[in-house]
Amino acid sequence: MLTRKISTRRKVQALVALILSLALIATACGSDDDDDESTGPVEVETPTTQAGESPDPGDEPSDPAETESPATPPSTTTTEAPEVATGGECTEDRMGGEITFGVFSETAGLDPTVSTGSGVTGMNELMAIYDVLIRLDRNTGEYIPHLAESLESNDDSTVWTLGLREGITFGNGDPLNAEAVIASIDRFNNTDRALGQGNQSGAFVSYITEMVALDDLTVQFTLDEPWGTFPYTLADEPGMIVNMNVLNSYSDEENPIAAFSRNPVGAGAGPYEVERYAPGEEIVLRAKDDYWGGPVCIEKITFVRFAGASATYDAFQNDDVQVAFLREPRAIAEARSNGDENALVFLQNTGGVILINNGVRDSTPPTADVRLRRAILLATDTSVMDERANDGTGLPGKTLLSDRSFYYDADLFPESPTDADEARRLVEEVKAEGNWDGTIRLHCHNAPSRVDWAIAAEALLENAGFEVEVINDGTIQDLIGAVIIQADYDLACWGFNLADDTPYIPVLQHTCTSRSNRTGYCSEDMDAAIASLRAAGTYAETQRALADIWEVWQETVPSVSYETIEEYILFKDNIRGVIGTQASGVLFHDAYIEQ
Amino acid sequence: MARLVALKLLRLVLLMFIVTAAVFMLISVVPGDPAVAVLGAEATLADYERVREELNLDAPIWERYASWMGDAVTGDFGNQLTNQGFTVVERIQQTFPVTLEIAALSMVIALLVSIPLGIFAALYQGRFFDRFSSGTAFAAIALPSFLLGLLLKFFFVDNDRQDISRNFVVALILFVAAWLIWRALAQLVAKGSRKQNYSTDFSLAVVVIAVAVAFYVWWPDDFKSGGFARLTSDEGILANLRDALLPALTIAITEIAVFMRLLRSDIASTLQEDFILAARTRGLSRQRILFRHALRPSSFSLITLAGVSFGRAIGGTVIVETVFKLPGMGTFIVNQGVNLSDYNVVLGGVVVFTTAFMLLNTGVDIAYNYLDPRIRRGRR
Repeated sequence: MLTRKISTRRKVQALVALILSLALIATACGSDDDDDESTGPVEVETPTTQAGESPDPGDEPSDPAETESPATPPSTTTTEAPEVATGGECTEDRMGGEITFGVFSETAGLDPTVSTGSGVTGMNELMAIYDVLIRLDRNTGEYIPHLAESLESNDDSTVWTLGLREGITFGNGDPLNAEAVIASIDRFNNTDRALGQGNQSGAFVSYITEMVALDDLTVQFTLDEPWGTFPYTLADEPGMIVNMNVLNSYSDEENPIAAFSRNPVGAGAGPYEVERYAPGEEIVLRAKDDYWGGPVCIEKITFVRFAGASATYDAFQNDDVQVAFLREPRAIAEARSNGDENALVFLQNTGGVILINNGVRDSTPPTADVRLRRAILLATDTSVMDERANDGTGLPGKTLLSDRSFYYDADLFPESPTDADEARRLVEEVKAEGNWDGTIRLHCHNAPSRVDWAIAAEALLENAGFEVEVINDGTIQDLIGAVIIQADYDLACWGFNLADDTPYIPVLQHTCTSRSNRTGYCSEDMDAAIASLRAAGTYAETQRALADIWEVWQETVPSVSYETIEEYILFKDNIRGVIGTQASGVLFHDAYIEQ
Repeated sequence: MARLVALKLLRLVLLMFIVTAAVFMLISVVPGDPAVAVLGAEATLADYERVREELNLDAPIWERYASWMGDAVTGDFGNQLTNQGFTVVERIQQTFPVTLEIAALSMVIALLVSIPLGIFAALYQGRFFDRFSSGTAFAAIALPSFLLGLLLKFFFVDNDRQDISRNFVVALILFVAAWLIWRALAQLVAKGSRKQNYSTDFSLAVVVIAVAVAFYVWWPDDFKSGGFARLTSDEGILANLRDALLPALTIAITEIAVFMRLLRSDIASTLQEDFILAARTRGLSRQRILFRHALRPSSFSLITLAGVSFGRAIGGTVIVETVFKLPGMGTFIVNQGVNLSDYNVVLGGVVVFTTAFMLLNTGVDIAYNYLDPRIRRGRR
C-alpha cells in the first residue's frame, strides 16, 4: 500500500519536474522581439590617430566668416579617438530627435555671470541658450567668429575690434547689437555683484579698460596690456550675450539676478530656449525655429546629472543618456575598452596637483622652505599614485604639459625626476636645523579615489622622512574652505587645469599679485614668464613662454603637478555635427541624429 | 475626536520647535561653509566674506535661528542659499510629490503582497510554505535597501540582462505554481480526509500562473537607470509607474517581509482564541472564520507598523532616491542641503518630514477608533 502510494507520488513528481524543466528552459531562453535590436553603440570603423597628432580637419564645416584673429596654434585637438561626433551639419532632412546629456556637475543657474563656467559646470547648457561671440576651432586651433562676424586686433593685441552679424535677434525679438554686447559684458565688471554670482570671468573682463560702440554692429575693446588670446574671453561666459531687457524685467524681484537665472526665456540668441529648469533634476531646452544659423535638428536637449562617472556611463550604456561627460580615468578606460570612442577629448594639464602652501597670507608653514617643496617633488612617484587612485588608467606625469598636449616638446618640458634618497636628505637637512619636527598636513576630500590617492601620497612622503597627517575633509567644499578661506593647510589635493586652448588663465594664479593666488607663491621670474605668456600671439611664443614657466617652476616648486586629467565627452555613434570649442564646451546648433 | 486632533497638533508644534532647534544647532557646528557652496573654488577671499555677510552667517546662532523661525511660521522657509532663484518651498513642492509617491506605492505593494502571504503562512503554520516564507522574509529583512536597489538595477535596468531576469522571475513563479499543482495532484490521488483540499491548491496554482503571465506581459522592459517621469509629464501615467516601480519595490520588499511575519504571528495567535473555537464549532467555513473573525483583530499591529513604516519611508527614501536618481526630497535635502551646509533646505525638509510623520501617526490613532470597538467605547 505504502509502496504504491510512493510510486504514484513519484510519477506525479517526475511529471511535474519535467513540465517545470521545460518551462524553465523556455522562459530563461525565451527572447523578446527586441532582442535583435542592440541598444549599445554601433562600432564605427575609422582609423585612430596617434597621440599628439593633429586629427583630420576635413569633417567639420567651416564657418562662412573667416577669422582675423592673430595666429594661434595650428591645432589644440588632443583626442586620440577620431572626432566622429563633429562631422556633418544639420540640414532640413536631418531634423528631429531628442537627446539627454549626462553632465559632470550642475550649473548654479542659467545666467552666464552665475554659472562657474567650463563644460564641467554649465557651459554647454549656457552656450545652447546664449551662443558665443567667438569659438575655438579645435581643428585649426584658431578662434573664429561665431555669433560675431569678425574679430581683429591691432599689432600688439591691445585693441580688438568685434564686428557683429546683421539681423541677429534674441529669443524675444530684440536686436543683438553693439550696445547689447557692451551692456552684457559690462555685467562681469560689477565688483558689487549680487548674491549668487560667483563667476570669475570678471577677472578676464577686468583687463578691458574700455568698450566702445563704433557703430551699431561694431565694438572696440581696449585692453590694459597685450593679450594674444583675448578671444578666449569672448568664447567664454562674457561672450554669451544676455539681453538686458529681459534681465531688467525682473527688477521688481527681491533678487533680480537670481530670478533671471532660473528663467531667462527670451534672453539668449542661441539655438535653444529654456523649457524647464528644475535644479537637481533636469534642464530641458527646446530648439528655436528661427535660429540665426539655420535649422536646429535636435528638437530637445535634456541635461541631467548622475552621481559619478560610473553611473553616468551606465546610463549611457543603457541609452538613458546619449551624451555623457566623463572625467574619471577608470570610467573613460572602460568606455574605450567597450569601443565607445565617438568622443571629444579635452586635456587638463596639471589637472592633479599637490597644492603647497608657500606661506599664503603671512602664514609660516614648513613648506615655505623651498627645500621641503623640492623634497615633496622628488618623493612624488606619479605612477604609484595613479596605480592606487586610478588602477593605472590615468595620465600620470610630473610635468607642466602632458605628452599629448599640443605644446609638448620633450626637450622643453622634461619630467621632474623622482629621487627618494635626495628627498630624504633634504628633509633631514631641514629637520637638523631644529625648527621643524618633520610633520606635515595633507588635506584631501573624502571621495573614494581621493582617499586612495591620499594613502599613496602619505606613503611616498613618509618614505622620504615626512610624518604625514592626512586630513580627509568631509566634502570638497570643506577642502576649499580649508585652503582658500582659512588658508590653514600645508599640502592639499588640487588641480590647476591648464588647457591647451588657454594656458594663460590657469597659470595666472601663480603671479605674486593674483587675487586667486592660493599658495602665497611669489617669484619675479615666474611673473615675467607669465606676462610673456599673456602677450604671446603665436604658437612658438606660447610654447616658449610655457617652457620658461616650467623652468622657473622646477627651480622654485610652487606646487607639484602629478597628472593630466582627461575630459571625455562621449556621444552615441549616431550623433553627428557637434562642434567642440574651448574649456570642454560643445555647441549643438549643427548637431543631428543620423538615421 | 476633536480633542485628540487638537492634542496631536499641539504636540506637533512642540516637537517642531525642538527638532528644528536641534537641527539648526547641529548644522551650525558641523564643518562646512555655505559661502563656499555659493561661490565654488574660484572666488577670492573678499568674495567669500561678502557672501557670508549677505547671508548673515556671522551672526550668533540664536539670532539666525530666531530669524529663520520668524519667517518659517509664516510659511516662508527662505531661498535656497546655493541657488537663490528658488525658494525652499518651491523646491519642496517639486520634490516632495516624488518622495510621497514612492513611499505610498511601496506601502501599497507591501500590503497587497504581505497580507495574503501572512494569512497563508498562518494557515499552514509549521508547514513548508510557512518555513520557506519565514526564511525568505528573514533574508529580505537582512538585505540593506541600497543593496536591494542596486540588485534590482543590476538585473532589470541593464539592456542585456533584463529579459533574462524577467524570465527567471517568471520561472520562479511557475515553480511555485508547479509545486501547488504537485500538491494538488498528490492530494487527488490520496485517500481519506486529505483529498478534500486539492481544489484549494489548484485554485491557488491558477492564481499564481495568472500572476506569472501578468508579470511576463506587463513587466516593463524599458526601465531607466535614472530619472523620473512625473505624473504631470507628457509621458503619462504608465511611464510614471514604470519609473516608480523599482524604487518602490526596493522599499517594499523589506516591508513585505516585516508585515508578513507580523500578520502571520498575529493571525496564528488569534486562531487560538476561544471565539475562533466557538466559530468553528458553529460550523462556519474556514474562509469566513479567517476573514470575518480573525483578520480584523489581527490587523492592529500591522496598521500601526504600516503607519510608522510609511512615515519612515517618506523620511528615509534618500538611499533609494540616490540609487535610482530620483528628484525627491531625500536627495534634495542631502545634496542641496546637508552637503552644501544650506540650513534653509535642511530645516525646510525637517519640518515637512516631521509633519508628515506626525500626521500619519495621528491617522493611525484615528483608524484604531474605527477598527476596534473597545477603543471607541472606552473613550465614551
